[in-house]
Formats: sequence, C-alpha cells, structure tokens
Amino acid sequence: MKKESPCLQSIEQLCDVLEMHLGHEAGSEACRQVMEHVRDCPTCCAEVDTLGKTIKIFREIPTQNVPKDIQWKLMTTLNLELPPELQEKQK
Amino acid sequence: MTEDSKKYRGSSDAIDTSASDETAKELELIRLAVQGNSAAKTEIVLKHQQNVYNLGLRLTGNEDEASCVLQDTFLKVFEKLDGFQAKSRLGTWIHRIAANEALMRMRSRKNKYFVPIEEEKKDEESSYDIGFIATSLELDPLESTLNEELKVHLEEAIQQLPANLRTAFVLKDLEGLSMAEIAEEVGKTVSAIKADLHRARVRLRERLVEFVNTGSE
Repeated sequence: MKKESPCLQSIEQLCDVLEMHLGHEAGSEACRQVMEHVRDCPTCCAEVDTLGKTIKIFREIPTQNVPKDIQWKLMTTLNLELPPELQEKQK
Repeated sequence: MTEDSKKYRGSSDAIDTSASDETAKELELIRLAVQGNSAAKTEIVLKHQQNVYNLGLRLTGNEDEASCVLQDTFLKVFEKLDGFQAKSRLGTWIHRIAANEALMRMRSRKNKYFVPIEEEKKDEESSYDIGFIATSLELDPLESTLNEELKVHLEEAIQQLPANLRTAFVLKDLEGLSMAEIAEEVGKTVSAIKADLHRARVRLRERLVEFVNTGSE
C-alpha cells in the first residue's frame, strides 16, 4: 500500500537535495530549507539515503574493455597504426 | 586510462605528473595530431576509446551501435580537432561528441526518446515501502566486491529503462554532465530532465532492492 506522506510530495526538491549531496547546486536557500526538513523527517531521510546508495552502487559498475575486433575496426577505419596487441589479427 | 593504452605508452605513465603538466602534454598531443602525426592520434584513441565505447554501450544498449558510436566519434574528433579551443579537457570534448553521436543514433533508430509520460509505466507511483527499501539497502552489496552477478543485473536494469530515463541517468549519474548540458543535448527542459532522472533512480533502486532481497533469501 502506498505510504501517504506529504514529504514525498516534495520529490522534485528531494532530487535537488540529492544533487547537492553529489556536489551540485549547493548553497541555495531552497536547498538549505529542504535539507533542514530532510534531517528531521525519517521518511525523507530514507528516501534520499536509499537513492544516494543506489547511485553509488551503479557508479561502481566497472566499464567494459573495448573488444579487440572493434578496436581493430576502429584503428583500420582511422587509418592508424595498430598497437602490438592488435597486430596479430592483421596477420 | 585503459590497460591497452598503458601497454602502448610504456612505463612513462608511472611518473606522477601535475595537472598542469598533464594539460601541457595534452595540448602537445593535440598539436601533433592536428599536424597528422599518427602516433599522437593513436595515443588519443587509446586513451579515450574505452570511455566512448562504454558511453555508447550504456546509451544504446547495443554492441554494434556502440561500435558505430566509437567510430563516428573519432572520425568527428579528428575532423574537428583543429578547431578545438581547449576551453575544456580533451576528454570532456570527446565525451560530448560521443554523447551526441549516441543520441543521434537513438533518435534515428526511432528509439522514441520522447516517450509521452502517460505511455510509460509510472512505477514511481506504485506502492513502495521506504522503510523496507532502506532496510534492504543496509545490506550494502558493495561492502564486498561488486560481484559478476550483480554487475550483470545492474547493467540489465539500466538497459531496461525507457530510453529517455536511461539517457538522463547515464549522462547525469554515471557520466557527470550537468542538468543544463543534458537538457541541451536532448532538447528538453531542465525540469523534464530532473523528472526523468528521478524516475530512473526510483526504478533502478527497485531493481537493486529486488536483487538484494533475492540474494539474501
């Protein structure tokens, strides 16, 4: 069942708070007011905290190496010298 | 820097250089590349290809498309490099070109970036218990290493987002663009991007909680 909380109606402001946690758009009066509210409201606190954790976890996903065949195609298209590890494919 | 470029460049990267040295090196690399120096171009490609490829992969969700994004990006980079004014780092400039290329591909394959809101599943309005979510995420999956199963699950979760939500999430939360930059890239208002971003975060949180709870059962 949906939790009826007036706090969650301010979701857009909470997004701004989250941005602030991540180092953006800090310092505005609106941010300060929302932060004060969030500090005192367990529901908002949990909302912000769990979204923050979610972002952190997704940021930890390691990036993929470019597959060798795609690198080979790229270097060939750009008419560039192949790095040693790609030269085998040329042979 | 990628493993490949480390190998290619040898051991000089072990030397700790200051930011200004890095900038001077980068400007020299650009100057050489503009003159047609093949080794300089190769170094630029090897240094930035992984970021470009992963951005393409995350935005398009498709290896073939990501490969095309990679090629088109570097073709454009070398075509326009003589006009690069060094107001930003080279990587930032390349990143912007790559994002443009990926977004163009998404539009051209009719990926429906502009999905009307009413057509989307409004799962942020579905019932959820924030207390339950908070408890679930207390079992921080990152306290150990990010295991392969979780990695696959998270990648899938990103790919299953509608294109507009995925774009907002990837560009803001993973790639660090500002709201204004994203709005400009995709031709929407900052408010619309904020809404997309929030919807994306909520959906991804749900997927994460599902994974954590499945794993802890």
